[in-house]
Amino acid sequence: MTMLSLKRAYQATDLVRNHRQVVDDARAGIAVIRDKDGTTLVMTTASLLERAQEIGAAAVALVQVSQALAGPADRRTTSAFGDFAWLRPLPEDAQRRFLAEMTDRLLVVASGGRLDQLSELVGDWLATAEAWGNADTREALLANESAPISDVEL
Amino acid sequence: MREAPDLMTAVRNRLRERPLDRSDNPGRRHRLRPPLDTKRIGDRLLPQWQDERPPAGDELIWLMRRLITGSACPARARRHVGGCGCA
Repeated sequence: MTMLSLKRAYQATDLVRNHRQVVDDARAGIAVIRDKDGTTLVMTTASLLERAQEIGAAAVALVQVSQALAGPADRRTTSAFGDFAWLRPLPEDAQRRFLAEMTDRLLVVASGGRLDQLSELVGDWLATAEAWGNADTREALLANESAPISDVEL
Repeated sequence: MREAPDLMTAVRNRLRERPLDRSDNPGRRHRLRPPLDTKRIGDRLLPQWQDERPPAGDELIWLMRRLITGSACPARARRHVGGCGCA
């Protein structure tokens, strides 16, 4: 039995007669409205709907990355990574780590965590991919230093 | 302040349409991820960060001294430009 079927269902006429109650239910989560032909409609907050859409879109984007990584490395195109096409230049280990970290983060967000936790992690990985994509930056960042750098305050 | 879903939508659209434009999120400091997440300097292993600036500015890479001193003040690395701003 779904959550929707457990909710009290308003009639379309309640939008006029009991509009305050319908709106209050919607603001508290969802209000289920049954139209005259039996169609079930839902009224909810824009933020709740957008959150669900964003989580769904992120999940689909991660499935695309997963599918790209499941295929042979020599057949992976940039477009195969979908919304995360900028991952393409990173080494495969890093791409797999991105997928694992994003999947974990998505689960946390889907269970009630802040949605911007996803964009924060995407930002970290995007910065990493950009740095990796520039040969000079990559070399500078990968190089270990045997002695303290003279102009770095530690 | 925008709702989080609005922010995520904006970021996702921007990533798709203008991946290098971070004008909607200036001043963010990103912890770099492996294999660029740390640098060994002498006997110290330091995390590496990227500081975002407006598109016209140069890219900054920061080494943080947080692990050593507990301070959030970044140390400026060679080969990179800009002022600390937190002094």
